[in-house]
Amino acid sequence: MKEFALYEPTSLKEACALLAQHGDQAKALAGGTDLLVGMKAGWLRPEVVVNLKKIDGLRDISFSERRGLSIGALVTWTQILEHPQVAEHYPALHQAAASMGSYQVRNLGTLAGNLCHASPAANGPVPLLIYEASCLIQGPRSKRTLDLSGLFAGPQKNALAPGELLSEIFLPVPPAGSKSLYLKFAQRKAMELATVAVGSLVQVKKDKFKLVRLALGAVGPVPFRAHKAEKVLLDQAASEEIMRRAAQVAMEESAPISDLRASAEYRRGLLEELTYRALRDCLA
Amino acid sequence: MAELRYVGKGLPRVDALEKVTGQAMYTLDLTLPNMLYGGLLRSPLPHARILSIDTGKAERLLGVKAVITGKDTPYTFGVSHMDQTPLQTEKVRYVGDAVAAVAAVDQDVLAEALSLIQVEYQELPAVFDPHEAMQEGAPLVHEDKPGNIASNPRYDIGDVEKAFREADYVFEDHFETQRVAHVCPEPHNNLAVWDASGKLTFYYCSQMPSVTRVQLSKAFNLPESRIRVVTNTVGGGFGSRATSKFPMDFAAIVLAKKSGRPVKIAYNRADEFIHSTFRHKFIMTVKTGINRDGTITGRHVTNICDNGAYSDYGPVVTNVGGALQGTLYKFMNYKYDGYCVYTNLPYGGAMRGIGNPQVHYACEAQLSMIAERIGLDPLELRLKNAVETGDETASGAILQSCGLKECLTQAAEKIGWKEKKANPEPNRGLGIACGVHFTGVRLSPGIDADFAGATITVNDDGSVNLATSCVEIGSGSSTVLSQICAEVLGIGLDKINIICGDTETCPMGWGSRASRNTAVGGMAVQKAAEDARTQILALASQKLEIHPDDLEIKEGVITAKGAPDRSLTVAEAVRFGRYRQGGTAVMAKAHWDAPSTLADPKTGRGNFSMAFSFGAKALEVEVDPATGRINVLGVAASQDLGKAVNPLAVKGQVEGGVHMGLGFAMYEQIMLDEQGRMKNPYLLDYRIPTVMDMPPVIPILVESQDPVGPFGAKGVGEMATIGMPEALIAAVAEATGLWITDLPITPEKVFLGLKAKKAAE
Ligand SMILES: Cc1cc2nc3c(=O)[nH]c(=O)nc-3n(C[C@H](O)[C@H](O)[C@H](O)COP(=O)(O)OP(=O)(O)OC[C@H]3O[C@@H](n4cnc5c(N)ncnc54)[C@H](O)[C@@H]3O)c2cc1C
Repeated sequence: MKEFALYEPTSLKEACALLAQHGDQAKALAGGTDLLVGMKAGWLRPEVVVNLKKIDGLRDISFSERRGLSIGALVTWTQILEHPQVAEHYPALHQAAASMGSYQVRNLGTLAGNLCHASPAANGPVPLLIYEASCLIQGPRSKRTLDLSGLFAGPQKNALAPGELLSEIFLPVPPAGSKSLYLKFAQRKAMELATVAVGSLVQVKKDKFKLVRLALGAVGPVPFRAHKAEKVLLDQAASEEIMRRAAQVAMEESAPISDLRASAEYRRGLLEELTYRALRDCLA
Repeated sequence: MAELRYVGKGLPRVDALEKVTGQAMYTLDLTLPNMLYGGLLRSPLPHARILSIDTGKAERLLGVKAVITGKDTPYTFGVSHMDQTPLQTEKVRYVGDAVAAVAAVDQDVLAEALSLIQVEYQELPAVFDPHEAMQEGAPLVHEDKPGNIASNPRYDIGDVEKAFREADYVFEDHFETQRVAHVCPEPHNNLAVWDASGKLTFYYCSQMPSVTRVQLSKAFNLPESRIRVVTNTVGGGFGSRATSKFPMDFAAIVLAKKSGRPVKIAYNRADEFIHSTFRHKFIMTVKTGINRDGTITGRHVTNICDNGAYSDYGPVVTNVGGALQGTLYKFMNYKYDGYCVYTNLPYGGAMRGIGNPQVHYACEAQLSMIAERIGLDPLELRLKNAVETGDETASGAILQSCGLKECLTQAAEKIGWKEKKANPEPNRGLGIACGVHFTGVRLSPGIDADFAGATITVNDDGSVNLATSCVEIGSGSSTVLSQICAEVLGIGLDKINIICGDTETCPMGWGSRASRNTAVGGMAVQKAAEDARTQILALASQKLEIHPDDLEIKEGVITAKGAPDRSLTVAEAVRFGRYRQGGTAVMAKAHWDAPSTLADPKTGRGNFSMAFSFGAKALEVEVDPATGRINVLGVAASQDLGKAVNPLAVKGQVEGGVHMGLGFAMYEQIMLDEQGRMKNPYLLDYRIPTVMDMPPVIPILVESQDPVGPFGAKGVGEMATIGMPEALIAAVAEATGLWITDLPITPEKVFLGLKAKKAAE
């Protein structure tokens, strides 16, 4: 591994200042399960690493019926997996946590790191998109709030400016009576990125789709909401036919590539089937 | 037979504690004072002439202690073909061929130094496909090998053409396997040290240290007594360490000599995939003659092995691939044409089963296809043709023990074959396949030997030092050999210290390969222990004045049979022998050469192994047709091992074999780009199944009591992994109607296959 300078700030402000000072030569370090893999392989060669783990107050995860779920930047996947209200109110996030890497990776890796790494195949974005999560972004001088969908700029590229950190993630309480889930198709049952992932959140009233959110992973440069497919369903009576049609529209909205994990053709086929199943299973 | 106290017991491994506590010392863990880090500069081109190499800048870099090129390593080496040199001087033959090496004070300096070496190449036309490589006018990888043929092993037994003419049906099918890696937990690494007297110590995680010593002695023109090879604990082998040396080994030794300091070269995972060899890709055609009643009349297998740029074990692998297909079924007409073909690609090597898993896959997969085509039950078809004890097979094997039919029936029973076949469920399928592998082997012409050695010293307190030529590479051999020693000597397992993996203290042997440790290594231990026992009883007899035949040893105590009051401990007997004028010591040795014969050079026939192990795999899958997902619901894996010296350890072997076989069948593949660079040199996209992916496995041990091996034991290690892809292909075919003949069998292939089938309908 290339030599680098390690900083261990104790406040967010200090961390942001360091990151701003070193610009694209610097990388923030949370669990390190993405960053260190890249550094050891030589894909990433930062001059400066800013360890966030000495900063207090970033490890909290809390839920309130009014404000929803808030997740600090250093909250690990294990914390998410073991949080009772995550399982209760955010089943899709719970499923994403359960199918994340392995025990060791879940103990080290953070949700914030997962989002900032911005892999289109990652476990975090898809469930968070259907819960319409927002991010609190801390800069060297100011804070801002960003819709999660605004965080992804491309494969392994986030939209943060130099010196900015994701400090907290908010998930509003899901609409009453809605059901949600996360389906990850991967070639192994553990230690695996998604070949295709689908998240769905559905609220049905009087047998009609009142609310539909669909998010897709690993079928485009960034994880995204399939708005066209959602529209197909809205106010329609739930039927297999309409769900199949929506699935086809979702497939048409996607732009999968062929890579080592799968061909584009296979991904399209998987996506269509998984989208249908994600909708169907929300109705069950 | 007398009641056994140690053999046949599922005792915990003698090395369990040091391994689970992390104390076991691997070569990778070793550092020595003043040690340097070595590394190789590798070719970026698949085929190119070397015009010049400029090492000047690297040599001047602070912290660099030695730089070498091919001029410093004028050695040729290989396994059957001496076609390799450590560092190339004239041309490079694949992306990754080594051209120079550096030793430096740390890894960073090393990396920088390597980047400062300038090599000027002139690119040559390259060949990447073995079929093309065999065509006239194809670029030659080695100028002295016309047609790029490294070897052309053949078996020609009986008359296959006649067998085909007389058969009711003749079927011909094609199969292809992929390159898969051993994925040893410990990557290849070494540490070379020269002392002031000019003696070389080579710390080397090897499966065959004594053979390494012979080869180093020849290369460096040093007496074997001036070379010590020490393996330490070995983190897996699977055949990758049965190759006695690699360019990295010569480089470390020469760099250490040149710098006057210890030099270590260690691969990372990416290096390990490509540069520690892998299982070769085979392209196979199987032609089988069969009668309506299921009697196989004859078989002809053609196999093209993509050797890569150097031979290593390639010719052996191509040969072994053909050796055993005349030993599974009763037909007496068998032909095999193997072509081991050079290409400008990375080179393969020995891997668990050494060519046999690939050809078994093709032949057994075809047999299941044939069963479907002619409407016979795949299990019955196999049972009808299966060889039995007493047979002399087409290949010339004389089967002194054979549990093949029992392996088949038990595996079928445990998976629920009859009931499930009678009540098929949609999207589910069953597959069964069987196989045979040798226990030690005598196949290399010119080396008429298959031996192991053991020495035993009994100490004053009655404890035992047992030195073996077998290296414990993770298979459990040290435990099993200790059990055999304990059983024969009548001494507690806790009194036995087993020593292995050091050429200075261990006798010579062919190392840990060819499924031979328990049987061949075990026989050497048994013979040495019998000798030691005789010596102990002779001393006890003098002291007790009882004839040795009337004495027995149990738990270190010698007693007169039927008169337990007259006894002596082993310790007392040993001291009685040692501490007197003209005394003696209890020291025993054995060199055991397996009773087998070299093959007839014309036909390939021969009884080339001391014993043959059989096995079967039966498995059930459920396929999700809409996604292609293949869910293996369960595997019944039977193994005819003669006798389970340690049932617990051997069940672990069988489960491990299923795991590795499952990876070969449906997960693993070294992907090369058009120039032969690996596209997935990391464990995320080179998929070995995780523990979560392992289906439930029912290991079945069939004890056929071999008359030759120790306590009836035969080999297990390689047979345990044979059979998975061939059982899987049949199960997936039953579930989906698709025969996926190119490995691995992936969900994507199932999905696209079903889609294409639907479109055609
Ligand atoms: C064996 C293994 C298995 C894995 N399996 C999966 C899997 O199943 N699914 C999956 O999605 N991923 C998987 N991963 C990837 C990885 O574990 C996850 O993405 C993890 O959540 C990353 O979190 P981290 O805290 O380790 O991030 P780090 O590696 O510390 O950081 C990741 C990136 O985000 C940046 N960063 C971190 N925190 C912040 C912040 N607060 N603000 C701004 N930037 C920040 C870093 O600079 C870096 O660029 C796996 C990794 C490994 C090694």
